[in-house]
Parts: sequence; C-alpha cells; structure tokens
Amino acid sequence: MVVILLLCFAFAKAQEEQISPTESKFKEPKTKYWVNTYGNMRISKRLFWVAQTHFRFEETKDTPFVGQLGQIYNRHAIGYIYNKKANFALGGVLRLNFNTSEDGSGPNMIPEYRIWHQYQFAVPLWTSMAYHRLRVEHRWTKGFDEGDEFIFRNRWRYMFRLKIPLNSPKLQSKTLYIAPESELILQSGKSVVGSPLEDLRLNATIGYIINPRLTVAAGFMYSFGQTLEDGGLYNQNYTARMHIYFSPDLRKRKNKLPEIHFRD
Amino acid sequence: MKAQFLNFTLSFLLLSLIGASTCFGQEVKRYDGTLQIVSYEGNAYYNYILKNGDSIKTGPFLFNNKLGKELDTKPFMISGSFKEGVPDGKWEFKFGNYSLQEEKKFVDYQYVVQVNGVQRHITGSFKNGKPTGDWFIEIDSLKNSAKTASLFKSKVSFKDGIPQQSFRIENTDSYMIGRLLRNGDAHDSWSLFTKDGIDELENWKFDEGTLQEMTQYRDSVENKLSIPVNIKVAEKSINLDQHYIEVLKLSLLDKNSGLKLDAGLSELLKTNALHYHHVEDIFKNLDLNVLLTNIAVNVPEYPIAEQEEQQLSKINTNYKQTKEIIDLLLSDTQVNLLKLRDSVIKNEYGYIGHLQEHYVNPMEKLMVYHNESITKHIKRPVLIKGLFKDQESLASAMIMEDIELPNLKLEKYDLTEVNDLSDRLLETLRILQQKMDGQVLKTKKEDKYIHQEKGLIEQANLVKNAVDSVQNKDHSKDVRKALKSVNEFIDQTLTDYSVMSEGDDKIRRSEELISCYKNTIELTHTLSQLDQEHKKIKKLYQDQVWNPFTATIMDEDVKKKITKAYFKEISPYLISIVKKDMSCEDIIMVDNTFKELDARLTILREEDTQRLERKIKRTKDPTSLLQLFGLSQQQP
Repeated sequence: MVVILLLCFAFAKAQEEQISPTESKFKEPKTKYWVNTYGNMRISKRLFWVAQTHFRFEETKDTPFVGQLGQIYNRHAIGYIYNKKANFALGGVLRLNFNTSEDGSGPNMIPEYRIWHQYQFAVPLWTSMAYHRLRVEHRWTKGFDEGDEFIFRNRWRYMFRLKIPLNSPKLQSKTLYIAPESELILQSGKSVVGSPLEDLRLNATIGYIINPRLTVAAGFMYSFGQTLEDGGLYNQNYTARMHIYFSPDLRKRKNKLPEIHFRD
Repeated sequence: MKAQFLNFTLSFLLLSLIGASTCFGQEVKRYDGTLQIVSYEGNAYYNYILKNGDSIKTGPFLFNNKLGKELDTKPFMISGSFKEGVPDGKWEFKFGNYSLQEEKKFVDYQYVVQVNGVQRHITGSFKNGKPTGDWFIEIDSLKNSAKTASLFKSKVSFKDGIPQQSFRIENTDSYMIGRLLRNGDAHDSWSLFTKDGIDELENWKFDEGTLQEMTQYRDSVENKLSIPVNIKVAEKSINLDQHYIEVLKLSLLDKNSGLKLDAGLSELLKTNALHYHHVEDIFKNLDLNVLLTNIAVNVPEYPIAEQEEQQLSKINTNYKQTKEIIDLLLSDTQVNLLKLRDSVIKNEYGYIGHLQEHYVNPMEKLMVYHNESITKHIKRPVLIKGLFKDQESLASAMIMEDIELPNLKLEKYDLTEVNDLSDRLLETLRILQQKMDGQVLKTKKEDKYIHQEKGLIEQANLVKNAVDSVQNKDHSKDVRKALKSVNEFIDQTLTDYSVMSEGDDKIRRSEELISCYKNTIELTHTLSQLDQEHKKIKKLYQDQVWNPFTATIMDEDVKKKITKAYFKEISPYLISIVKKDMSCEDIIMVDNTFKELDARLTILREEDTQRLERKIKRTKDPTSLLQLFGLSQQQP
C-alpha cells in the first residue's frame, strides 16, 4: 500500500510540473517478438535463484516482429520463500540494448543496469490462482545519441495475473491454462517529466505445465506508454511472446524436505 | 464283608505258619507276591523248595484278591496246602459276585458294607494230589450279606481220586442221585426228583458205564428211549462232563425220542462238571494235573479215518476263511450303510446272513466238536444231518442277480460232502466279496463324484459371484477385460471337465479345479483392486513439489523408469496372461506376482534405485524387468 501511495504521489507531482499537451498522440504500433526464459532454481529451503534471460526482437521495415534483436535481458536475483503464497526477491539486471534506430547512428549496443526487488502474493481463486506482483526497479539507462549520459529512474510496477486451468481441476502437471495478465509500469526520476506511464501491458497467454519443473507458454501482448520526451506521445506495441519456465531443485536430495511444510 | 474279615484272619494264621515252617525247612523259600491264576489276579503266599531247577510247593497256600481302597465286587479266596508239590489236605475255593449296598451299618465299632449277590464255595480234600473224601459245591444267593437261597449244591465222595458210591446234585427245584461203581463207572439207576422227593422227573439207567435207557417224565408224558447195545460198535470210557452230554444230544438227533437234554439230569451233571473243571483249571495253572470230573461213562466210538481227518482239516481251513470273509462283509460299515438304500446289496447281505446261520455256524460247531473229540463218538451222518438242518429251504428262497448260487444241498451227510460244501461256500463268498467290494467301491466313487462335482460347481459359482460382485464400469478397460476372461476361464474349464470320461483322472481334475478356482477367487480380488493399486503406486511414486511459478504444491512423478516399467510393461503383461485358456499355474503366478510387486515397489520407493533405473532403461521385456525387480516368474 505504501508503494501504491508513493506511486500516486509521484504521478500527482509530475502533473503539476509538466505542461499538458493539448492532445495525446499514439505512434504506430511496433511489432515485437520476445523469447523469455525464466529460471527459479531452488538453492535452499527458503532461497531460490532467479535467472531470467529474454531475447527481445522487433520489427524492421521489412520484417515484422523478428526483424532485429532489440535487447538481451539478463535478470538475476535471490528469492526468499516466505510461505507457499508469498515470496520476495532482490537482484540485478543487466540489459543489453541494441541500437534499433532506423538511421543507424550511435553505438550498436548500450548496457543498462538495474537493481530490483519484488513482492509477489498468490491468492487461490476457485480452481485458479490470482497473483499480485509488485516490482520496484532502480534503473540506470543511457540513450544512443551522442553525449547521452546514464540517467537514473525508478520504475514502479504492479502486475495482476490469473492462471486458469483448462483441463484439470487445478494447476498441476499436464495442465493447459490461460493467463490473462495486465501490468502497469510507472516511472519516476529527474528526467521523467509528464510521462510517468511508461507502459501498460495487456497480455493473453496460454500455457502448458509439462511438470512441476517445466512449463511452456505463449501469448500476445498489447502495450502502450508515454514516451519519456513527450508525455503526449504514446508508444504502442504488439508483442508475441514465448516463455519457458523452469525450476530445478539444486539442493542435495537429503535436504529436500516435503514442500508443504514451509512454515514448520 | 464278613467273608473278607475271615480271609484276613485266615491269612494271618497262614502267614504265621509260613513263618514257622521256614524255621525247619532247609531250602524252603517263601513267595509273597502277586500271582495270576486263570482270570484271577491277586496276592499269593506259599513256600516252595527249589529242586533241580523246579520250584516245588510245600506247606500252606493262600491266594486271594488284593484289597485296595475300592472294594472288589468279585472277591475270591483259594486256600489249601501242598505236600511235595501236590495238593494235600483240605482245600477251599471261594468266589463271590456281589453288588455293594450303598447303606453302611455300624456294627461293633466297625462300618459294615453289606452285599447282595452270589457266592460259590467249593471244598474238598486231597491226598497225595488225588481228591479224597467228600467234595462239596455250594452256590448260594446272598441278600444283605445273608444266605437267602441255595442255588446249587453237590456232594461227591472220592477215594484215591475216584468218585465212589452215590452222589447228589441239586438245584433250586430238583435234585438227582447217581450211583457209581468202585472204579468210578456210572452204574444202576440215576434219578432226578422234584425237591420234595415225591415225583421222579427223569431216570437214566447205566450198566457199568454204558447208558442203557433214558426216561423223562414231563407233563404226565413219558418219553423213553432204550439205547440198543450195538455190539458192532466199540465203546470207549470217557469222563462224564459237558462233552458226554453233547454226545448224548447229538446221538439223539436222528431219534425222534422227544427227550430233551437241555435241562434236568443232563443240566445238573453238566453244571457240576463245569465247576469241577474250574477247579481243575486252577490247578492246571499251577502246573498240576488234578482230576475231579472222572465219573466214567462209555460212549460208542466211530474212529476217524485218515481221509476223514484230512477232510476235517480242510473243512477247518475253509471254515476259517469263510468266516473271515463273512465277518468282514457283515461288519463292513459301507456295506451296512449301503444295504439301507441298495436293494442288491441288501439281498446279498441277507444271503450272507443265511449262509452264516445255516452253513457256517454248523461248520463251526463241527469244528468245536472235533476239537473236543466229540465227533468220533457219533455216527457222522447223524452228526452232520443234525448240524445242517433247514438248508433245503434256503437255497430256493434266495434269488440272486448275476451270481450263480452254489448247490448247497447235502444228500449223503458225510464229511466228503461237507468238505465239498465248504469249498463251494468259500468260493461263493469270495465271488460275493469281490462283487460287493466292487459295488461299495463304485458307490464310494459315485458318492465321491457327486460330492466332488457339487464342490466344483459351488466353487465355480463362488468365482462367478466374485467376478459379478467386483465388475463395474469404473474399472479400467484392462481390468474389465481380465475379469471377463476369468468368467470365460471358468466356463471353459467346466466345459472341458464335463466332457472327460469318468474315472480317476476326472476326480483328480475336479480336485485340481476346486483348488484352482479358490486361487481364481484370489486373482479376481487382486484384479478388482488393480486400478486402486495402480493409483496407490502412482501416488507412492510422487513427491510434492512447490512450483514457484504457480505458487502451488504439485505432485511430481519420481523414479519414473520404475513406474513406467510397471505400468507400461509388467502390469499389461501380467494382465495379458489372464485369458480363458490360462493354466491354474498362471493364475497363481499372476496373483502372486501382483502381490509381490506391491511389496517390492513399496520398498524400491525408499531405496536408492539409480543403478536399477539404469538397467531398467535397457530393456522392455516384462520377464527381464520382473527379474530386475527381484521377482522371477517361478511357477508354483
């Protein structure tokens, strides 16, 4: 709740200082294709290692979705399992941003650094599960233009997601599920003037739980958000996404306690 | 119990005498211990001298029953004395047969139990081992330990072992007087009178041992028989006892005299002789020959020729075998049960009974007479005709199916004929025995068939009921199919059984099937549980895993190679064995293997199975997999 209030406050403050455009303008949507791997590797009774690698492609003039590599995204963290329904994580991100500008000026790749922490809560809902995810990222980014310096921003993310099993009474092995999902990403920082809504992502995903250790999913996302430079100008994206979720247990066998007894 | 008290006193006196005599005797030894004489077991006290290895009794002798806590209802006491190994002096024989009165009386500071019953008392003297003086037999009935009636009484005088002059024998309602010559020969008139001495009931006339005439007066009718002196027949002097009476009886068989020798004089003589024999037997047991029954009578003698002797010997052999078969058949439990429901057996049983009564029993008598040396004193035709009576009516009375009845008719009444008869009788009984054995066996078999088949059908129904009760749509396809196969198996085996020809093989097969069906019920149960079992094993081989992406607990299959081998290879293979033409061994094997697998999989879940899993990976052959699981398909 504190975080939400903080977000609202930041948003209100930003509105005061920015001259509002007379009307918003939405750019032509870009098509993108993301291949995301998510690893949650158990390392102890309560800790797990978050390792995510995303390959993000985007259109070129000639090729929609997969025309060029936009970013390679490495997210790592150590997660803490509070209980079955709540877990937290703290870690860093190294993102490699490739120059996708049409004029081809500037360096080919610029790294981006983040420190992030997240708070995830699961709520059983009939046969489904609902998830609330709060993620805060402290982000250092640099543009491709000459003379651009690293700027620091904070990102405030809230995601709500449902996972609804289709062929099973609950989420279990060999279950096909659909996952509607929306995430609001707000940003703040010195450079953020009149454009706190970085992204609003609306997802529809269909997934398949192969076994408790491996799930695959594919979905389509529509997202839009203000450009940093102009609060009245909005980016739009259509992104096809493919996900692999894996969660090996790296503990020695003898340490694998029955999983239901987190709070014992 | 007064008698016993007397015994005690006497015993004491005798023992004192024994003690005194030992003072004078040089090699006199004393015996004081248990002894059995005839059927009497008791304590004996006597002295003896060892001479050339023989023990020669001397001095007083006492033998009586042991006095235990329980009062003996058949007390006895024999006392007398020996001189140089033979009886000498007074002897007394007492035998009781009492029932004890429950009520006890207190007399002279003693509790007295009174008795009812019969007491036999024989007294007499010996001189140098030979009866001498008067010998008395007294049989009295007692009530409350007091004599109430004299049942039998006799007095015979002996001199140097020979009965002399006249003797008297009486019973409750008559008495007889007999006369003897000095040499013991029966002589003159022997008469039986009523107790009051008024009416003469019977009269036998002897002349120097030879019976001349017999007269009986019964109900005012006089039956008289003069026995003609047959000069051609040699006579022989014998002792008068029951055998002589028997000879007389048999001699009368061909004479329609109306004389009856079952009572009267003959009965008194016979009874007296039997009591004397009893005393003789007691001495015989002590290795002494004492003769009391030595009234001499003459009987005709028809010597037994050698051929006759052989025939009698053969008849004896045949008789013994015949008797054995008859006893066996008539006492056979199966035959006795069968005759109640099988008219053929009943008929045969009856026929055997007739054979026994009319042929075997007379033959037995003939053998007894022969053994007792009576046969030679009677004309053979007279004897045989007398023994084998009523046999003519028998042969025609019996009708037997599929057995040719032997001709059992006697015409000549000689031993040759009896010998032939005994041959035919034995042969007939052997045939009958064989036939009846066959019938009994057949019935036993039939009964066994019926019993066995009933059991078989019951067992088959049990299997089918078991299948019906477990069959439902919730079962997996495989299980449903297997249960259907079980039913088909029952039908198939029953059909195969029904066309088998009757015999030992069929009985054996039904026994096998009953046992097999019992196992089939077990298998049915196992099969009906199989789906549950599979679920159980699946659950067993699952870990609960927390999935961080769903934040839920999920079941994770573990040791999948093991479960896969079980679910995909072994279980389908075992189920595939269950078909309508499976063997009984297959049934046991499948059932046992499933049960053993259950136990084995439970163990494997906990064990480190990495090596096993690697091996399992290499094969899909169910039998090899079973071996890897540590189970081999051993046929039971």
